[in-house]
Amino acid sequence: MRPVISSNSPAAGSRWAAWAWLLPVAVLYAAGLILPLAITVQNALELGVAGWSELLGNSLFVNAAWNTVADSAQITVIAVTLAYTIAAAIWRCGPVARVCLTTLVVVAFLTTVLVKVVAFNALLRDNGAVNALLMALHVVQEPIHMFPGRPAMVIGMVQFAVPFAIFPILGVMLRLDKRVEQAAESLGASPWRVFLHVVLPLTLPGVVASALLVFVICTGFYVIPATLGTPRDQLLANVVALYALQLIDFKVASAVAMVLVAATGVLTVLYQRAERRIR
Amino acid sequence: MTLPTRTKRRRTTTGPLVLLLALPGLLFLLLPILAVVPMSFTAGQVVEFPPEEWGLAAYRALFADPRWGQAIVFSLKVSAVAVVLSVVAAGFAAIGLSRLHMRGEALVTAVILAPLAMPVVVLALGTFQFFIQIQINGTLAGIALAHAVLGVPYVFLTVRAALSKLDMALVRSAMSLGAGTLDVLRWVYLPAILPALLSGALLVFVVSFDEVVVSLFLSGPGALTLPVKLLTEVQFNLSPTIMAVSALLLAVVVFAVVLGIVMFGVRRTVYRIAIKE
Repeated sequence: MRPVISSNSPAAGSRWAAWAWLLPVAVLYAAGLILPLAITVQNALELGVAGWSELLGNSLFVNAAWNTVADSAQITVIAVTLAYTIAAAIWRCGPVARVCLTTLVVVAFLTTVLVKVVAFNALLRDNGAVNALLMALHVVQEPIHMFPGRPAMVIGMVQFAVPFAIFPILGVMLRLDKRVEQAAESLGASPWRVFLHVVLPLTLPGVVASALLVFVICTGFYVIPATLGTPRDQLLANVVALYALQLIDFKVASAVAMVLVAATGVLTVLYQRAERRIR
Repeated sequence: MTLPTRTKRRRTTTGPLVLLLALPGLLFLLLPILAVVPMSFTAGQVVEFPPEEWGLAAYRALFADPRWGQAIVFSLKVSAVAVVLSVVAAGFAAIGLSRLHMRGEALVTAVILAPLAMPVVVLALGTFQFFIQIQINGTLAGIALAHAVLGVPYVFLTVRAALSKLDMALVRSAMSLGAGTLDVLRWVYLPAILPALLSGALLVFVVSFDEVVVSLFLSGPGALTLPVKLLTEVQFNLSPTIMAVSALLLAVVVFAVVLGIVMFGVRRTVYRIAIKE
């Protein structure tokens, strides 16, 4: 009986067939990813230098770009802080509480953005439940205007981002060696000192990875700004949709899309580097 | 000298404190979502929390309106097709890459995983422009195709993980015993990757069913998915019917998670999602 070729891959005679395995995904991606991106790049380039300089001076674009950066920064800070508290709670609690908390986070994570938007739409209105509560507690005399507007938008985006932000931090916390903490405690450190000088520095890489992840998510937001914000609060993704679907200017839409890709690309590379450091 | 024995007791006293610190975050995460349920039981025309009158009027209106039913059915069809396409494409690709150790493997993997790193609106714009040219814009096929591209990375990752645990000696033995490629697929690969295929399929279904941006760009007169209908309705006015739809969507998620826990245990359902991300 002839021995099979003793390499790690099966019989060399079927090597051609390996490329056939990639055919379905190749066809699918050609139609759904490669060619679409090629057309977008082509349209963006066809805009020309004149078109691009006009775009960079366009107040709508500049406004949206600034909103995207500023909102993303704000959301990242708030979301990562909240996520840290929740991750710490999941980490520290007993097994039963840990399961409950993680399940709740997963349910929040899997709920579609539209359900969240609907909820905030109803709750953050001038005559909504939140304002009613604030006035009943005499915190404010008049309703705070949150929806539609930037406050509602930021609240919605933070709420969306927190589950994503929890996971990298939780991963790092669960990988911490208990003995480092116990060493600090046995040397007489109070729980606060242990946290400040041991836990916080060691979990910092997870915090950085989490922040970058949230930032990447923020650059891509479309639904929340579109439904909870005013036309002045729109972000870059909304501008792409505006030019593509309403102004029917594919060249400008593609150009803005390319800006988004570039920004997301840089952030993703940074995120992958941060993620590698916490493995 | 004796070491302080307070260490263990300190551990458990920080537990409740940390939980307390996390409470605002947790409430913020969950209360809005949970608020949808009572709001859906408004008997009146206006959505309010808490509802002034309780009733099932919203649900009755929902089931009476055929357009919502159409949207749900269309979404189910799109997601089903997307699942089939992505499972086939990603499954074969993962198997192929595991069989052939080629130098471009990292590049191919990066391309396959590319949709994960890209802003969805860019993909939406691209497919919109391309599909107009080949005239499948506003069709079920077009939307399903775009969703499949979004779903492939998920199936690819799960199948690849399952394949890394498969002993290639089994494949080689089968082939040396005379099994053709189809038999090897059926009897060696399929049993090994079936759980991965199923969990990947479930993930693609959820991603596709909830998908908004691409479906919005590619929507047409007869091609309206449930999320897009929800989106356009929310931007007009907030009716109790929308609350009812949202409450149902939330119920589906909770049901799926509970089902997953009952069937696969807490570890595999909840922790896998949490820690893998």
